[in-house]
Amino acid sequence: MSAPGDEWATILWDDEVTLQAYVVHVLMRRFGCSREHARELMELAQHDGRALVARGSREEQEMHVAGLHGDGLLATLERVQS
Amino acid sequence: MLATLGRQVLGLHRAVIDRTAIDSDPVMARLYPDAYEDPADAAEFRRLASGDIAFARMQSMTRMVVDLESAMPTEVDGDVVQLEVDAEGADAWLRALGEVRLVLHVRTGQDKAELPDDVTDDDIAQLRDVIDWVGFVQATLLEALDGRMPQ
Repeated sequence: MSAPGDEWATILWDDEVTLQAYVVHVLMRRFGCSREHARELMELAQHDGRALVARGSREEQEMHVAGLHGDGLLATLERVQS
Repeated sequence: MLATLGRQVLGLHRAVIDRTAIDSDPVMARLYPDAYEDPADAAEFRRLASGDIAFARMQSMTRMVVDLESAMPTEVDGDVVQLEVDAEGADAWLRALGEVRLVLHVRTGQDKAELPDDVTDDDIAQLRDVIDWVGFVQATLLEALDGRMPQ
């Protein structure tokens, strides 16, 4: 069901209880992004309800989603519409 | 109190590893959410990944519970404990504190009919205070960590 070369995305969903500073901390640690970028992604998820935080192979994104779930965040993966 | 809550959350993760978790429990739905919109894909992801996720979470939560239970109360006030954690311990604590908040948030938001009969409105109000207090602890720890990390 997944053709090789398909691109997948990790989506972070807004969460009414998790502290903003914790979300920023998790994004910085997991994706190695700057505090400023992590904050932008967190704010995007809060504002739009969802934010694309990573893209690449399905395997990679499944690893990200599992990691984010382990950190207590709401995340899903979906195929990138090309 | 926090150690007791932590032990209860450990039981939830243990149930995931033992495949005895109650899937219809809203707490489980929040701690182990669907990874895919498609139910079949979500079920497959859960089957493959939830055991590892639960194991990692048990490690973090165990770290916090053990730290708390081995800490000596200060002489000034028996309710206060002072702890030192290293960077790895701090990450485990952040996850564990966040998890306790998630569980309490879901439980206090549930319909009273779904909770044990002896749970009163006062109990629920107290648990909401605990959510705030645990959030304060987590925020304080994050501030302490951020002070040491490159901006």
